[in-house]
Amino acid sequence: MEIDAESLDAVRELINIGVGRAAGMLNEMTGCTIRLRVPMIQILTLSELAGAPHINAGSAQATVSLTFNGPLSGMSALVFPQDSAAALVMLLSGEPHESPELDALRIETLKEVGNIVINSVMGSIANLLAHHLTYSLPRYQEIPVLLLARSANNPCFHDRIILADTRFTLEDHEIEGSILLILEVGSLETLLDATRGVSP
Amino acid sequence: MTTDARPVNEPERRGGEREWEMFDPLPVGIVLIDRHYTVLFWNQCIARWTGIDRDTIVGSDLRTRFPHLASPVYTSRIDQVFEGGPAAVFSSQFHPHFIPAPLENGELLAEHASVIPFEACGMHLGMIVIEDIHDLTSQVRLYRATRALANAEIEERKKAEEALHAANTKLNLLSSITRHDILNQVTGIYGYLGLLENNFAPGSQQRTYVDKIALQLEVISRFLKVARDYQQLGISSPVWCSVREIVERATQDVFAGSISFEDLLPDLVVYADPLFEKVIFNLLENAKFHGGNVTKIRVAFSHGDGPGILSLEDNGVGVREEDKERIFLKGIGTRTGLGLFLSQEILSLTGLEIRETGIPGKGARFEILIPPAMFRICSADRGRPGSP
Repeated sequence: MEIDAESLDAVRELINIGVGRAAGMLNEMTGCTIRLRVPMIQILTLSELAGAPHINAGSAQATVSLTFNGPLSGMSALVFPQDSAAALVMLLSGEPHESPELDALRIETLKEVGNIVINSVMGSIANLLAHHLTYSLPRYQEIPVLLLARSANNPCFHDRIILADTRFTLEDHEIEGSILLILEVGSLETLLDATRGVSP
Repeated sequence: MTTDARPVNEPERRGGEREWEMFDPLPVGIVLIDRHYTVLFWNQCIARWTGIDRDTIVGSDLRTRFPHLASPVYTSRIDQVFEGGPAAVFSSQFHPHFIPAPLENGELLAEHASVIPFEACGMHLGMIVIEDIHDLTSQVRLYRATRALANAEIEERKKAEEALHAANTKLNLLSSITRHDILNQVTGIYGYLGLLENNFAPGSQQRTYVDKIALQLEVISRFLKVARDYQQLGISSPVWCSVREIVERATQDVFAGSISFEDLLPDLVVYADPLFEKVIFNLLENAKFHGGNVTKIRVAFSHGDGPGILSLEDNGVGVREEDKERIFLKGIGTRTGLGLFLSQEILSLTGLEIRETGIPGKGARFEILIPPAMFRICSADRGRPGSP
């Protein structure tokens, strides 16, 4: 399936609206000045994801994910290298950055951060589709991204993956992570059609 | 997006309540609210935690009861749930007391909260699930504090070790220079004594004094040699020593083939200070100089569940019962510059011990006790291990 630059731009804008909203919520909640943006977006197959730079798909990462069903089905995940995840949580919570270790409380906090980002992104998408989606509860896992994609336990999920680099900037620190939208067969077309519907 | 702008009316709520009572036995707090934050159900767990009865709170606005929930930090995310979005989770880090629940000690319960879309009575409701994570929070905080303390102690210990190392280096240098200077003076005195000796007739009182001075100089020299050996103790890291190689070399050096040497050793390696070799030399020299007519040395090793035992025995006069412990005291047997006291100190650096268990009159038997982690028996095709 050919994906034109215009459609890709529209998807990026959609995700940017979501993360912008998430940044606002995080700012309000933590009192930190957080900038959250998506500088780059790619649409990949699972095998292309394995070779994608930055994502380090084969090694365990800190992930918060949820699955969704409806006109658009798949899995949405926020993914960080574990050290970055711990650093992000400690910066947000104002903890001294001494031991970048993800203990149970930091995992719980990361789950909330992931929940805010994913919910905002999914909110943007659902608004665009003007349809109701049903969601699972958010789940935290330390897992290689490739396994996460397969753990969706639905062979159809492995159609296309929207990979969005994310950058959290706060207190002179820039922490990179990724947002993954692992879409079921046909869902990407649905999403792109919806973006074309609102394009000028 | 689905929204239910209409509040849930009382008959609808009463209809649902019978079903929702199934949430009463759960060990988590369950609160059902409608789009207007009106409390429709309040389970027994949250009633117990908060001390607020169901009848008191049902029908009231949750935000009025708990004003912090009226903040956009909460409402923007809870509203998303009512608008068809995914569940919202609230961590204890940022929202430790979603619904404040006082504990007996005056603290508030640490909570993890989730707001989940919930369909009931044909309405879109929100289910607030409150989990008690008070113990978990306390344990993690305690763990963090303990780890921070341990890290601080490690840092302090590192600094102390570095300071000790620096001080030790200086002391060793001072000791070495002092020893060297004293030996130079001793050599000078020896020279003058040689000159004096020639001036006095053998057997004269003056000659006797010269001989006594020479003897005492010899004792001083020996003390200095012991001091030098002792200074080297523990300076180098322990290494894996091949016992057979050391024993063969020492036997050859000390006895030069004049005795029969019975080797019953396996391919044994021992983790010890590099001065371990000197210990073996010392034991063999003791056999030569104190053992009487030693004609045979036997070296063996045995091990079971406890420590391994490396034994060196001879067929000399042995050690008298009353001397078996005394020989390991400081100042005893320093003829070679390395008495059994020092041997014991060298062995103790890696947890090894030494004792004498021979039969007086039949020969001396020194046993070196080696903890299991400090020895290995290598098979023929295996190399020497690098570390314990």
